[in-house]
Amino acid sequence: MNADLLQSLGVTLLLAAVTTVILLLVAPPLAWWLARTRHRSRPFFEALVALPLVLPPTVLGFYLLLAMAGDSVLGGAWTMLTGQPLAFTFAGLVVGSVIYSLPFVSQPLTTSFRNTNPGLLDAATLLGTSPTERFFRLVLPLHRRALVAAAVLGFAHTLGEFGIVLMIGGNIPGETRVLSILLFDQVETLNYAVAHTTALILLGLSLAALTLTYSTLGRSP
Amino acid sequence: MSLLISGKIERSSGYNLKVDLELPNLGVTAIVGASGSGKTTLLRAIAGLDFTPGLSVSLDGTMWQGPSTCLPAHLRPVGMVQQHAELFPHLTVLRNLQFPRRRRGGYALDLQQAIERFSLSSLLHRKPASLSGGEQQRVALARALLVPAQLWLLDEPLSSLDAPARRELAPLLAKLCQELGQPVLYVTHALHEVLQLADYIVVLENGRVAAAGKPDEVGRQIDHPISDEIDVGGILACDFVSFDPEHNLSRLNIGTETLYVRGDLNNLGPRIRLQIPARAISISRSDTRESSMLNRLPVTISEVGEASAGSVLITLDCAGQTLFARITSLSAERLGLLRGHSVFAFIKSVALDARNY
Repeated sequence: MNADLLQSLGVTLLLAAVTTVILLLVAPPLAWWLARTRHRSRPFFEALVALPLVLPPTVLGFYLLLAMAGDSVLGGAWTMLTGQPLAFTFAGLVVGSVIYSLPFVSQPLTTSFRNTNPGLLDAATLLGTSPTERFFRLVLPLHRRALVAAAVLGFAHTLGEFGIVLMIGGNIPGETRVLSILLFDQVETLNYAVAHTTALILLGLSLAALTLTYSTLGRSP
Repeated sequence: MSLLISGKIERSSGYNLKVDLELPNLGVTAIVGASGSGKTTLLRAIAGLDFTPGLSVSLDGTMWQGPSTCLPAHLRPVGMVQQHAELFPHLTVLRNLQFPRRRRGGYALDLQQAIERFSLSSLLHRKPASLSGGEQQRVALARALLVPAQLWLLDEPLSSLDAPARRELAPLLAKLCQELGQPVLYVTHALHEVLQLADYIVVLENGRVAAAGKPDEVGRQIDHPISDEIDVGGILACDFVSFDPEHNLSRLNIGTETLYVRGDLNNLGPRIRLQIPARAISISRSDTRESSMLNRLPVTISEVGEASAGSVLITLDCAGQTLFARITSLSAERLGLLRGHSVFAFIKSVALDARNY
């Protein structure tokens, strides 16, 4: 296999994996809050989380680019902490991917969490468990299929990211050049053989991930 | 010392519950009412499951919730059984039983005792979905007993079960209620479920306490037209004498008088409480024996209530126990019923049927 392709595949898989891990830490508590709260601000936060679903990735990428600039608060703080810039680095891509893929993990979880039988939560309360304990000991195990499905969906979605990477990641081999960017490059340079392989890999990975998602969700609990 | 509950619960739907109760901190208190009367709402508020800022709850002087305090539900020393078993579907029976966080002190049972008591040893490794309704509720009872508690709350624990499962679980529950060292609040729409056990009865109606008191006095307090569902009436303590299989009748003695109840009541023990709704009694001034009515008690009228909506509540003394009859005010006038009259109370056979118990 082409060395460029192999390198991009590595970057892509690493990016998707790191993003998914971070999303699995962030999304479940957020989704639980969205599913349970009756606070007036809920629709606003739901909309905020869902924005990447409707916004052109380039718009999100543009704002992220501004936020990651060395003279911005986020970018400046990152540079101070790590000595590295955030824009056009792998870390910057992770930040962008987490935001971009958040709704794909958060929304199925919110939907699943809303179906929690309130009697079970009451039972756990009556058995002396605190809200935090209930979340970890009851809610997460109850919704483990939704968690797997959401993680796979987040992973698959990160694999296929293009616009946002273009804006904040650029095209640095081994650092930020993911498969979708490589594909674009290959087509630009009329290198159709590699383009074919790249496209097929993305197609195969995505199809496999979605099949896994639907088979997980379809099984009885 | 006692359990104090007072205040109001208001829902945006317009529903509200207003109570001011002082319940004995011992034995079994039955909370009876039709659906919608507020009994489950009350129990959930005591457990702290719903946000009810208008209500004060304290046990033995310890404030659980009040104007300025609210103990979170998971820290309240209550054990509660809900209407449905609510077993965790992803866990085996054993894991369900192991779910409660072990805290210090006050346990009714340990795990091994709970398993034996509710005959769960053969079910331990099964998932709740594969259990029958009765088995599920047994697991739920056992699980609830594995937390330390100063108060037990039973919210219609038998109502979701079919008749055979109910017959199987009821005696187990009765034995348990009597053996628990802490007070039990038993909520039900069917007083007979808890009649033999209750030391105190609270009748709820449309979010208000219609009556509260010891079994022999509670019927007196319901002095307004009532629905049949909560017609507590009089509760008579009788002695079981014998069962006559030929006529399918149980013979009970109340003082020197005899009552016949259809069916076999032998399993309820030697001392049996009968609940006789006020509407099930008719009154006659003469001792007509030529009637299909089997049960006839000589009684003395101790009070004739105010007539309201065409009916009147008559309080009757029966060998020192109290019975209530609700008859039309027209009949009361025609019979000229007055305090001190000796009359005969005829009890409809539907009210004296073993299937009610």
